[in-house]
Amino acid sequence: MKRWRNLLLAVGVFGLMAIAPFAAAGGSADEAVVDLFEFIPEQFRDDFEDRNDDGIPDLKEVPPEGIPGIWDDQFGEVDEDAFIAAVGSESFDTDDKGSSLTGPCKGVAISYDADGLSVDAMVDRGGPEPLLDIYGNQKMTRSNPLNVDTRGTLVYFGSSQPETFHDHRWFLKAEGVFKDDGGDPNPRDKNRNAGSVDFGSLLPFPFTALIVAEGAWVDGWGPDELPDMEVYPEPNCVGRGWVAFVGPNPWLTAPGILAMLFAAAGFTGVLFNARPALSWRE
Amino acid sequence: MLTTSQEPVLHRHPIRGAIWGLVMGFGVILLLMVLRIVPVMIPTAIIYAVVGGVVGILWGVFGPPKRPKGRAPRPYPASMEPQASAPLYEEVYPDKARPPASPPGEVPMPMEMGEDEDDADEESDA
Repeated sequence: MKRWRNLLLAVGVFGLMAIAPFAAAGGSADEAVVDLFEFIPEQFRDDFEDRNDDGIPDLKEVPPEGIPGIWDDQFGEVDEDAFIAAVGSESFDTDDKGSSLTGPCKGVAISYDADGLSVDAMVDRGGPEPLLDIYGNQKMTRSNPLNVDTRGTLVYFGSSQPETFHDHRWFLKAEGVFKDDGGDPNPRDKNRNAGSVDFGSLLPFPFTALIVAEGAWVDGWGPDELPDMEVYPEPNCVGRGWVAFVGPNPWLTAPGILAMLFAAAGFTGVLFNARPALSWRE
Repeated sequence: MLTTSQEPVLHRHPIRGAIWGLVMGFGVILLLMVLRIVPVMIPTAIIYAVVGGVVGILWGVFGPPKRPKGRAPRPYPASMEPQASAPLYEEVYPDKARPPASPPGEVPMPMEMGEDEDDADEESDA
């Protein structure tokens, strides 16, 4: 009887682990109301085609990475202390479940899996309305984060039109995960950019996580690094929102396996090794 | 040195509880982060690990104790119990003088056969 009970329990736990990710990934039945092709510059449109009929253009070919600015950080932090100092911040507020992007910045970001099929997308038209998904819902909120496949690619097209920033500085960071920053004197008066981030080749292993990301882009700041500020000098673009790293089954990723081992070992240790015991020995 | 006791003694394990609790707390928060239930945040991870450690300490101190292994050590049988004090020579042999103590280093010679045993027999017969 006890053996059957344990077997049922094991089957239940396994079923929960195997089915939950698929159940959580249920698709949306909404109709797309945003045509993302209108945000993709004409010269790049031939690189896209909607192959999985989800209303988001899929990749035929991975576009090249964006051209870095003169002041862009090309190497990141080289030691642990500097990394912790860079990615640790008290400015992150997890109670804020919304998203925002202020200033003249606008554009589109589309995430793809390792096969170049679309995973998710978001768009900002630069007006007062929030970041949107293709169904017209607010995007990058806690309940509707931007899904990014850690084995895939993120493609973006952005602009600050009609403004043109010079001697600008920017940063983008997520607490405990990453920080990137840079800038450019912009002598050629560029006010738009396009590029891609290949997570599959950048990251050492795929993982899943939910993060809060924030960033700022300030005109006329100069070559010095842009710090966290309550209010940035105008003109600027400031944004924050939620990003969900998706892709593999969380239980089968390296952090997932490590987490299970730690939790199981700790629980077993607390339960059996740390429990008070009566003994005949004094 | 460990000694045995007739009554079970309670041993508490707060240090073990703290260590295992930290491991458990870190594992749980890592699991919640991997499952995207909790956002990745360094302070959150520290809080969960510390809370796990505190839970481990409380369990190690106030948790229900395990029963002692095996049976209680048996007390000495009455025949084997050491007596409070050995009877004096004069109490056993009231009519005999105490033999002189052998000098240090000198091995006492064994008794000659029949000498004292006969005397003892005579006394018992009497």
